[in-house]
Amino acid sequence: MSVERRIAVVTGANKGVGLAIVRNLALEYPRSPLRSGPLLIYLTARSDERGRKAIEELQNDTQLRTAKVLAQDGGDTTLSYHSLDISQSSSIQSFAKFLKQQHHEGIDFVVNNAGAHTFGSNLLDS
Amino acid sequence: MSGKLNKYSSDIRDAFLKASTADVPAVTQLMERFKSAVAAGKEKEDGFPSAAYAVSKAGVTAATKAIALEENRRGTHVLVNACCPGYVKTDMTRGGGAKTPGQGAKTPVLLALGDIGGVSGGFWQDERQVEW
Repeated sequence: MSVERRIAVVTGANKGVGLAIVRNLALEYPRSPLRSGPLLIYLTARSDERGRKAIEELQNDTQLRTAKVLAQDGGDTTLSYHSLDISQSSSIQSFAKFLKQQHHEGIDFVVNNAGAHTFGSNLLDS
Repeated sequence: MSGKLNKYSSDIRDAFLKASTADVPAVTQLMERFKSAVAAGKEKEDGFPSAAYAVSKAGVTAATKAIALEENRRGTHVLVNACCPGYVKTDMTRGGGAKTPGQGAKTPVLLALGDIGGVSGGFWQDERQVEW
């Protein structure tokens, strides 16, 4: 049986629903139909500090540790941070380019969780 | 739940449905129409609710459906779906909400990992497809 790594992205994942999605992906993946090998989840955020802190939080999460779902505990899932600001097209292009370079074969899924709002002006810079 | 089409005039509702089976630019055009109507103080007259958030969510769903159709036409087998996680208690709601983040994550996780029977272009809530 061939082992195929799965690649996932969850945007706006340093807190809120995004963070919970990453957490639950790690918990659910082992018994999901998609399971074919290890899972790499990119957690994105606008701030490197908040993004990395969120990963640390997950890596110390009692439920995740007990369930042994993270690679550090012998499980399937590895977490990685990448910056992404969905209000900046340059940020979107940069992340897309990064993913294409890292994963020529493609990726498996993206959860477009990040939302942005502004008052009175156009949101996207270009 | 935000983003459903029941708050719109039948004209605008038809415009959303049409845009969702056309392409993303058609959806953008509808969003621009809303913005112009708001600028003129006439959004209600034009058939929209006076609510940017709700209209933007309907726009996201329409765009999702348009992209799903596009992928389907290209034969890529990529499934594209939209969902409403529900009213979740987070910083975004400033503490208001009926669900925990873990509960809010259920439908997105299902769409990502689960067997959803090859559905694409769907609108989901509470782990099942619902009418837009």
